[in-house]
Amino acid sequence: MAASLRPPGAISRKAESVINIFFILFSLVCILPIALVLIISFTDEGSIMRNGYSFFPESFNLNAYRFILSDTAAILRSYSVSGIVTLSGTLLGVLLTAAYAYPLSRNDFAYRKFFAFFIAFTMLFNGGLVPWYILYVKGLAIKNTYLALMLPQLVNGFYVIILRTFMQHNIPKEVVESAKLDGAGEFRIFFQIALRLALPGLATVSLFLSLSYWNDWYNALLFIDEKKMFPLQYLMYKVNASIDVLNTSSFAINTANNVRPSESARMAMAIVGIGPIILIYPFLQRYFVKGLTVGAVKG
Amino acid sequence: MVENSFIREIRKNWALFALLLPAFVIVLVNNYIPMLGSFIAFKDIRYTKPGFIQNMIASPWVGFKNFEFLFNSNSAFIITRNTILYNVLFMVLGTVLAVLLAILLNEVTGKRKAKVYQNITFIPYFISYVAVAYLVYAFLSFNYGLVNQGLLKALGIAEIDWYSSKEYWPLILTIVVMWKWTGYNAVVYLAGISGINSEYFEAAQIDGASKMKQIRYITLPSLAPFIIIMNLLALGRIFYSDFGLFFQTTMNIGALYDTTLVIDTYVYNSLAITGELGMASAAGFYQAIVGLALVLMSNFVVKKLDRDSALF
Amino acid sequence: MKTRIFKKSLFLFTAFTLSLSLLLAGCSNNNDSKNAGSQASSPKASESAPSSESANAVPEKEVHLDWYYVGNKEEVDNQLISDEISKYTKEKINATVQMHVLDWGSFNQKVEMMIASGEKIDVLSTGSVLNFPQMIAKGSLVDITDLYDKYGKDIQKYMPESLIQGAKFDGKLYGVPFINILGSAYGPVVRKDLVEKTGFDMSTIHTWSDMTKLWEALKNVEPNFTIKTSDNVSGTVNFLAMGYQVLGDGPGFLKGNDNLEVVNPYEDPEVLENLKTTREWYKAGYINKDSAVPGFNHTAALGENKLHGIVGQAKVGIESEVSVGIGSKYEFTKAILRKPILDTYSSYFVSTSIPRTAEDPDRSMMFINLLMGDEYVQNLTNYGIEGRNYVKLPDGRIDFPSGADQANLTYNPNLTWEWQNSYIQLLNKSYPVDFVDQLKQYNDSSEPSIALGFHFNAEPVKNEIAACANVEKEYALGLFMGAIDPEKTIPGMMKKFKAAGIDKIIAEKQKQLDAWAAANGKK
Repeated sequence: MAASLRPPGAISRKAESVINIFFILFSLVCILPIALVLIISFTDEGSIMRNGYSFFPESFNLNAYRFILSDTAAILRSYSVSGIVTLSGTLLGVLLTAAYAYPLSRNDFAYRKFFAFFIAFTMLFNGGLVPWYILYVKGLAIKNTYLALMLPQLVNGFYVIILRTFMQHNIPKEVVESAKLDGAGEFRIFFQIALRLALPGLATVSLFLSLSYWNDWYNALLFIDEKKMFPLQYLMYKVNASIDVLNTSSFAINTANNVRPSESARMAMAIVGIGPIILIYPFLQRYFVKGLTVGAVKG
Repeated sequence: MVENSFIREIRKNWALFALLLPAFVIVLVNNYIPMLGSFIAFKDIRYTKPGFIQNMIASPWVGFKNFEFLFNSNSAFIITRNTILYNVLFMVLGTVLAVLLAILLNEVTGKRKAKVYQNITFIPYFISYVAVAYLVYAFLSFNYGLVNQGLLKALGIAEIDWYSSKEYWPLILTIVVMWKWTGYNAVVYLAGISGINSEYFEAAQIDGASKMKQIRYITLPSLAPFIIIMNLLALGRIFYSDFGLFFQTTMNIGALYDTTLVIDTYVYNSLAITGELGMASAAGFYQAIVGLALVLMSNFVVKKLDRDSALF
Repeated sequence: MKTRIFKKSLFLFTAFTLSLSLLLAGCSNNNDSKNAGSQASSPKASESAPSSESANAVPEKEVHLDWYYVGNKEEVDNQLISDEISKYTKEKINATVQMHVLDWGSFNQKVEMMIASGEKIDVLSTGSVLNFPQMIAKGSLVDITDLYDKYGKDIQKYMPESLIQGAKFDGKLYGVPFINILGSAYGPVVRKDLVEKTGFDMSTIHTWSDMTKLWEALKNVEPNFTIKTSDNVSGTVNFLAMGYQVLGDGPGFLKGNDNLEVVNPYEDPEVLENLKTTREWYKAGYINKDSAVPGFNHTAALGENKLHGIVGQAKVGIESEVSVGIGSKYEFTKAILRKPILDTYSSYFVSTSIPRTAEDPDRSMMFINLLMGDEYVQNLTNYGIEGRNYVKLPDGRIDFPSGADQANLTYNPNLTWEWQNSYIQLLNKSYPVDFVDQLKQYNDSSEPSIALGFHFNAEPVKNEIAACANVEKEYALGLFMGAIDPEKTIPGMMKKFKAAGIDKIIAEKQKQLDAWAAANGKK
């Protein structure tokens, strides 16, 4: 009875339960450590020293979050800086990446090998930090601008090559040719046909780009001095640096009335640092879930 | 001659040139201009002149002296071995797991369930290596860790001093990497699967092909170009390693170096003492040259086998 | 067909790179000519200053000074304090000041890049937080010998001559050293209440092996007793505690303070005995096994009665510092294994310098003079504004305003050591009222090193030093916490050291030291 309701392409009952069990176990492996991160972030540090790490600590407190979030205005500001950079960087980056990748995927483009090498070479070789830093600070003079946070990751060879591969296989030659015969220009083909057919690839690149923008603190460390332009991860990096020094340096003595949290603060930082970006995956997922369980849906 | 055909190509495909021009210019500025500075790898930088460029020109050439620290010690073998073995291991195991995960996710019946599983497998990616390091510590600390105090004690096994036992670390690091990256790596393959024309599967079903056969003859071949390209790219970075993983997770503990020291952490340790721009640059140069050579070679091989899958 | 296109591509590629280099050369010239004016004068800045100008007169042209230092975090009130400093300095030296705090993790790299690219830094914290000797060798810092004489009058009132002597490189001064301890003492710092319970006399401890009796006694009164003996990075602190002196970067130490023979402590039979003793401690359970891991939070462990002592620095006031670090939960006491010795490293260890990218080195030095010689600026930068950021107690010490804790302090940089002048700095209430007298006494007990003023130029052996650092890091931790057997380990380690070129480093050090001794009339 029930079997007849099952779509024709679907796997057998037995295989289905095996897969489900696999994923439940796999999910536990993924989730349990994260749960521990969350629990430690609320754990009283003293209780770790007394009883060791535990999923069920004897006492909870909010010290870590109070310590990290002590400057609420700064945190909120840095969320918005990260948000702006991630959003605009991703949109612009995907467009540029796609525009570069598309010609590389076209077999009738004679210089595609040269341009592929041109971009791939940047993944293998770079000029080192100092020349790059000097270019940004002196040559382009973009210290303390959003551009300094966006430009470094705007066009990434890795994403270009992935998208090119995607376009090679998902945009059939015939479609392009028949569109040409119908009198469509290259730009129209690119914007109206190529981009649409490459949607799962674009979603993948958007996902990677937005995550790398969100998680970036290093460019801010190099190029941003102004407090009001600190992205979230850089703010978290600074908190971490200040915890490190309190624990290890013989100089830094803690003269205030209470001791700063360290383990719990690091874990709290990890939680705060994730922020709204955790929703990006479910948001973009629809573009590659579209083809997902293809047999099941098609039936 | 060159100009002629180049100009002809521009005439013919001007729109394609126009499309890639913006990104081309950005890469030119952001990536290629700084490359000109890489010859500080062969210089001993001195500040005697007002600007950096003049200083670079005025500083004396020292040949390969800045490279010596990479080769002249007993560490050279260990760091090269560790870097390559870990990278090969992560490439092979990472690809297998990610492809497997993508295919299995594709087979989950019920769209919502599939989405939930997918989201969960992706979550570890969000935990930064700083937090990962302390998470690992929470498991492996001698007196406070979950493994020693929770697991081994309960089983009646003697506690292990994880942070001074180098033999366990290849396994620990592999687990960490697979935990953190498998969900992320699977995304490319998931996208690849979703791009497969569904007519192929329908035709296979009509022909009565089993699920296994469909995977073997449709899914895997369609993913092959992605697998090849991802691994080609990884090959180019075979002499680089994930600094966060090897530095943070091991807490840079010397007693573990035999199995955990890689080129990037070795360079970091060396430069923490001598802090020399030229030496840092030399290390990067060395890593890049090896990567470049490997990619050119393997790209050549791939080209012979399957022209379309080549990198360039 | 294919290959032709690829060759053409290669040609295009080369052509692009070439034209780029021309482009860059053009653009760099523009940049440099802009900066040339401010920088060309730096190396001999003092000469370019008009000689008629008296050191005390307020200069006519207003200057803005960018002051970079390393700190734990950006304080909420940083801008306010900058403005307060500027008000004062505007009047005194016609300069405004902007504080820039950089974090520990990136300080080195950031400063190096800023100086390489010619960005303006007028005053900079240097010393051990940066690679000071190397910065000098590369020409990153201004020679301030004359500037210090001319504008450093207020600092000179407090500065011990031996400090300046030690901090000078080839007779030239590149940084003003902090005025605090003259070298550090080394020894164990342990829980006072436990020691009192045992009735143990701390003054009977003079050598590494003397500590065994103390641990035994402590273990009797506190079954969970543990200590931390290693600093996780190298054996240096332990060697100092065993009576050695450092001699610049890399391996090669002096033993004691009466001869100039450069030695490798790992080859010393006494050190081997000490390491064997340490191994016994480890086996007896005295050494905390978690203390090996840098992630171990030893502050929390001290506070929770899980760790009871640390072998390391035993300078004056260390007991208060450790106690305050754990919220004053327990008190501490110490013993001295090695008396303070003022060596070259300790004399430049914390310094304030003027980089070559400073706009007006004269004015920078005038500001340093106020920072370290003027009571108001010293305390404003250390503690903030009285009433707002701290309050004075009747005995002259200071405390946080009532109701303040970590979460709501707006200025608590915790950097009292960085541009310190202990003689004019206000005392936090966690220090004893007579701390300054204790400090004087401590400094009187300090001995100048026989090699004070010798600076090792590591340049000829930098590759070997880098290689040896990795070897030492591999073994030091295990040896100094007793986790590995020294007799089995050291031969293998020495083999690696030799392969890494340790002999070459020691020979080079000895050669430079001998030359220095000959030039300075030492035996």
